[in-house]
Amino acid sequence: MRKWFTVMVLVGILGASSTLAQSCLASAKTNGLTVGTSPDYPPFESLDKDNKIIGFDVDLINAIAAELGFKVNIVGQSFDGLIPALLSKKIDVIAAGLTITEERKKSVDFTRPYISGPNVIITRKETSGISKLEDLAGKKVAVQIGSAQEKIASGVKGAEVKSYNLYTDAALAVNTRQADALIVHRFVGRAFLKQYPDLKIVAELNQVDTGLALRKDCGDLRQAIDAAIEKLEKSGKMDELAAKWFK
Amino acid sequence: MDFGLIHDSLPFLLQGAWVTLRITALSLAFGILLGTLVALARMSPVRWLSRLTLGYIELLRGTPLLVQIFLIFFGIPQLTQRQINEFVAGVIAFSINSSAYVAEILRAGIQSIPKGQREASLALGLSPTQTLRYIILPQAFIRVIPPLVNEGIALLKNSSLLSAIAVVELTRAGQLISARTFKPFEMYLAVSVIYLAMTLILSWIARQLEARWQVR
Repeated sequence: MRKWFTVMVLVGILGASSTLAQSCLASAKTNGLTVGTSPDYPPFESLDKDNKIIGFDVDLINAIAAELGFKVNIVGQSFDGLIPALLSKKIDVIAAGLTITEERKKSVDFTRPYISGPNVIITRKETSGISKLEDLAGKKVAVQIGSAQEKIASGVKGAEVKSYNLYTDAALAVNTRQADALIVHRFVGRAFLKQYPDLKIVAELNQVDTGLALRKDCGDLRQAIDAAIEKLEKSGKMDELAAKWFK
Repeated sequence: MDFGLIHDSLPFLLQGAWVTLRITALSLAFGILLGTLVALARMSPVRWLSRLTLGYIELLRGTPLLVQIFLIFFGIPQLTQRQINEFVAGVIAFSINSSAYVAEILRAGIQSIPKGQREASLALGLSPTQTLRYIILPQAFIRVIPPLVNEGIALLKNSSLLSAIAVVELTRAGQLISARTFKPFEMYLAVSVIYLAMTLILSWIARQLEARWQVR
């Protein structure tokens, strides 16, 4: 009797949970899309004067959501916590200028790339002798913790990698001489140069693709977003956004 | 739970723990040295000196440690145009911060020594400096061992703040691995256990010291 009761309870729980487990797409339609980002990465995302998150990614995600009829809730948090937050279902999408890497693909799914560009090395104007990756040997290289650029820096023999919580802190470290060089995406690097006139770009590195990241079990949502991105590319909206933020 | 990951990252975490221990030990040592001077200045009959040290203590206790760290790490290079190693910046920030707390701990300890001790010492012909050096301070230091150990434990735990200026101490070591593997739970669990082990050992040593010196 007791055994049967347990079995029935278990069946009940399983049944209830399977009806609760909606597809990601359906859930996004009813509950809206929670988007995680780390607003220390201009022009992809940064905070404006009123501490509102703005940037290319914000406009992009809003355009996608308008296309698909979702409501969007954008939450700012630390960069290195984004993928764990996605995996633990605190957020549904990462829109953080995330470089598509093989290593990340093991844990998350990426949408089609929405922007491509090289990483760059940035130093102070007074610094000389750094013109390629190998020149960073023996130098302090500032990057953000958990970033694809951290991986690049770690690959340089003899480089002393300094990982900061915020990319803005990494740039500040170079500007205040606490580090010798910064590795960052070119678009972001240009934004930092506007802020710190004493810095300069000394080298262009590998070309990388940037995409939105989703959980692996959200294939339907990813396909819908991919279709929306394609539509935005065809309609010229994507170029318009790129011109607005990356010029 | 990925125990394999914890096992594989243990050497890197322990390396971080060693940095944590070194920062704590150095900062506590400098903090006690500096704090002793601050405590004496605080109790000085010279009014402006005592007021000045009060301001120093309030400033350090009234502002967040993380802000003090950033002030030193980003501020000193801006003022002096020279690089400052983040480990050194950390030790400077912690020593200065700790000196304020140590000063107040010591002041309480010194004031808890009965007046008669000082009077007797002076009556026996010791100078005020000798009285302080041989009679008051040795007794005061023994009394303040428990609160000083607390300060040491607080320093050890607060050293995790140095992760923000890219010092690879224990917390940063865990963060670096979890940022790479996306497994924060396993990493922070391992990090917590290592911190706990260090603080438990610290309090055990303190109890031994106390027991030993109390007997005499």
